[in-house]
Amino acid sequence: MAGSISLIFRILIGSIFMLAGLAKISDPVRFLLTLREFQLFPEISVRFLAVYLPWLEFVLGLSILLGVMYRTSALMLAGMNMLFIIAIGSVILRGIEVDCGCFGLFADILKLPDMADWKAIVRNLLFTGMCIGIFIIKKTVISLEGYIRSKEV
Amino acid sequence: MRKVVFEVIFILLISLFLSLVYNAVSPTGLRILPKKKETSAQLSLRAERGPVPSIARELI
Repeated sequence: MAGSISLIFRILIGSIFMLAGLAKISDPVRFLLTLREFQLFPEISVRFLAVYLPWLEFVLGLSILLGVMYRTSALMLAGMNMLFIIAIGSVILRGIEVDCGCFGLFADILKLPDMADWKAIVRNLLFTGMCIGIFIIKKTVISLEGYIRSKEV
Repeated sequence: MRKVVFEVIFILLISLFLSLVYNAVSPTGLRILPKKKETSAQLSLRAERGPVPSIARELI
């Protein structure tokens, strides 16, 4: 039972973050402009983050979906989500209206809500909860790690 | 614990590698480092030399 719950969380989180990463990778300029609007980072780090963060999201999502190093990836993704929550919270408190840039291009195509508001914070809290769930539940089913381990024995 | 640290470093490095390689080859890649600013000495030297002839510009 616990393994199945972990698998459901893995599929959800893995596919969401892979898609979010791909959306930003395909349009780095848009993500760069969004990061600038947050007014949190100096210019050089904004450029680096615009290039690096989407790939980090994509790799973490992929490893969770495939089930390779998935517990560590889930922990890292939980940490990243907490940072996103802090960033969005600071924007709300300063009264700046910006896109959260979470789903980039896919937000336009699928008409997803993509504003940096309370809904985005609740959504990120939900993602953080699922990531922590994946980390805490040690058992999972259908994972590459499990498959490799079964071949070794 | 050591395994977790190793995995974290591995994931961070593989993402860094992929992002830098993709950014370098992608037509939509961003310039990460800002353009180098010329010093006042370099600017005055350029002013002394005058405009670069078109033939020399082609060679450059």
